[in-house]
Amino acid sequence: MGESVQVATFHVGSEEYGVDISQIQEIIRMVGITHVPRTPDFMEGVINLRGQLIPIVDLRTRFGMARIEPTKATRIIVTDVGTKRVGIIVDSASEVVRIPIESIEEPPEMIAGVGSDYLQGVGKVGERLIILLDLTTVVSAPLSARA
Amino acid sequence: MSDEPFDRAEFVTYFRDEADELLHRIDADVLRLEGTATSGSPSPEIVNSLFRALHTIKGNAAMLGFADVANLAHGLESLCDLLRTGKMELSALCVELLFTGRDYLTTLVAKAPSDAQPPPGYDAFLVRLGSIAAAELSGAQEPDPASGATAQQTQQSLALSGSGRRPTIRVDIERLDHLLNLVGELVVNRTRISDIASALAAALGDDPAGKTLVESVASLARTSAEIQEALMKVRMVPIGRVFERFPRLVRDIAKARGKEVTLRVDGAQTELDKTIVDQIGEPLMHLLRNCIDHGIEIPPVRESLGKARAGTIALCAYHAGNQVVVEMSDDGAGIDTERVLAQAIENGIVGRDERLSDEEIVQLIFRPGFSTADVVSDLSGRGVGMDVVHKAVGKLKGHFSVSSERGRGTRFEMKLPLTLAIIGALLVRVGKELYAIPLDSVVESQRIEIADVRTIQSCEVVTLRDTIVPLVRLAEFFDVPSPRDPEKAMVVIVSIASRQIGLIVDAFEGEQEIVIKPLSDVVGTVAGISGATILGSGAIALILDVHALAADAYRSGKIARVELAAVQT
Repeated sequence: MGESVQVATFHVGSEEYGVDISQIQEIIRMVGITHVPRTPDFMEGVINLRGQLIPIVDLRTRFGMARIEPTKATRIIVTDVGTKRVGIIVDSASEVVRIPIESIEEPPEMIAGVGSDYLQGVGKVGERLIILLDLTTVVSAPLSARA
Repeated sequence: MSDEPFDRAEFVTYFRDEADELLHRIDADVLRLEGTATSGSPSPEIVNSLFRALHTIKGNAAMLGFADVANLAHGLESLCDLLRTGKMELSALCVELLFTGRDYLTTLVAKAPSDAQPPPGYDAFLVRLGSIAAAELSGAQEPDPASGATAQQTQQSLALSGSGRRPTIRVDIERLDHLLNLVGELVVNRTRISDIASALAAALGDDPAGKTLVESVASLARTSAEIQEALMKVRMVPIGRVFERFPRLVRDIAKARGKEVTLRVDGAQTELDKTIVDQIGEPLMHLLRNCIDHGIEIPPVRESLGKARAGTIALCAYHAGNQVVVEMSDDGAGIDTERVLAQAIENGIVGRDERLSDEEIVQLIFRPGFSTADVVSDLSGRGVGMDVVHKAVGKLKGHFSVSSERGRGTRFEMKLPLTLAIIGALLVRVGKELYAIPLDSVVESQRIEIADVRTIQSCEVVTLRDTIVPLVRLAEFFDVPSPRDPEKAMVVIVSIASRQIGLIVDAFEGEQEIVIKPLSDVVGTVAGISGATILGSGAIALILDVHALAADAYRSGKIARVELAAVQT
């Protein structure tokens, strides 16, 4: 066996995404979010996580998909991006999988409307395709104008 | 060799911090020496203090391998040694040598970690220092035994100075902030636990366990409040740290301007939050330059006016309630209101026909781009004037004011909060969210009738006590949905500089002490919002930056420009 990465997977729309588990702090249920005015659409607001203010990004809006009402399955994945802690809203969180490095491919130009800027690659696990996200570009604002 | 990893970077930081402090002390000491230069022999106390400071720098620098710093400190130390043993007279040359040496030291210390070349002139200075010391020494007959005794004395005085000092510890401010955050969390949970305890006690009825629970939770609450307060105090440092470098600054500027100035400092031990102390230095320095450049007259003029040759600048700090007042006053010419007005008209700040009182004219110096300096000096009068100070003080949530009397002098006053981390705020609701408005800018809050609201330039205004107050609907400003009451409106009147504006909100939610937390830079900067806070209930309130909000509203024409309009009835 060669090297592999461990990713936590989750769903947004019809796609399955993955983020390196070393970047994940915790996964929490949906909570009340304080909206911060005059911020980009995908910036949902901030939450109070045990006394810490965490900014929350809505992945659906970030990927240009329609906003939906949160369901019981909706989760906030609290991640550490560089030195910043950011929460991302996903439709549902699934599991942690191990993906061998050799089965990760370069991202195709466009996947389900998501600009390839956000993507690090696509991992294959059996029949599943897991889109590996580059969180740094996901949470940095200027990209929002492109699509 | 030890197995412990040697964190050199950390030592270098400590070295620089300590050296900075010592350099300030050296400055103060040399200044005092200069003061006694005319009276003959130098005070042994000052020379010893100087010697000790240089000695410490030398030792630390040598330990870290900063040879240039160590060599220079050694040279200066030798000079002090000659002074204290009476082998050399305290001359103007000697004072200049000490000052110049100190400047080189500052430059070297700032560069210390890098292997950069020493500043130009350094080598020559070192040689000069050495030759002067040698010349003095050769004049003295028996250097060896004398210097031996000196070394002994030095050891003694060093030991003495060490025993008198209270032990201190340097802590990274980030660690303190982290602690403060944790305590904030504790305080937030405290409220929740108190509620749960009361509910449980009520459910338990007569069971004494309920009473015990409530009591112990109350004691826990008290302790956590005390911890919070104690932590805030840890962040407090005396403002004197900033004042220390001023005597030298005043001396240098006064000399360059051909003026004589005495600086009187009072209340240096007054304590303020470290963040404020760190940021108040620049504005104060700017004020000092202004006082010397524009305030104090040259000696012949002062004498012809019957004033003392040397002008006096008094700098003092004191507590007033939960604020610290920093005053700077000079006995100079005062602000020339006619010239200020003429300049303001020329710059288009004031219309030709406007009539302003002397007091209003003095306030004009706070306007951006205002300067009356006849001669543009290299220090002040570059068009960046009092507005910079005004802005800096505003940023620190303080107030800045000036009063002046022609021929008698000018007095600047800064009112600063004790701490930036905790502020009093008025909570209001706009749409779904809570907003906190810092109390220092709130004038009043009241309900107004929509019937009283009129429009100027299609912007809403209301007349309160004969003053036209422009209104900003916060819901519209922030573009959030909110119900609009057709009959009345809740208005918070805030003051911005000398103006007042009214912020229309949906509801008042009371006053609270809040802990300011910055918004993550992932959120970006939002005009009108300076941060957020977590309330006792766990809810988040966004903190309004009324100055930025007003500036943005004026820029985008969302607010009526009525500042100079006459009251219409």
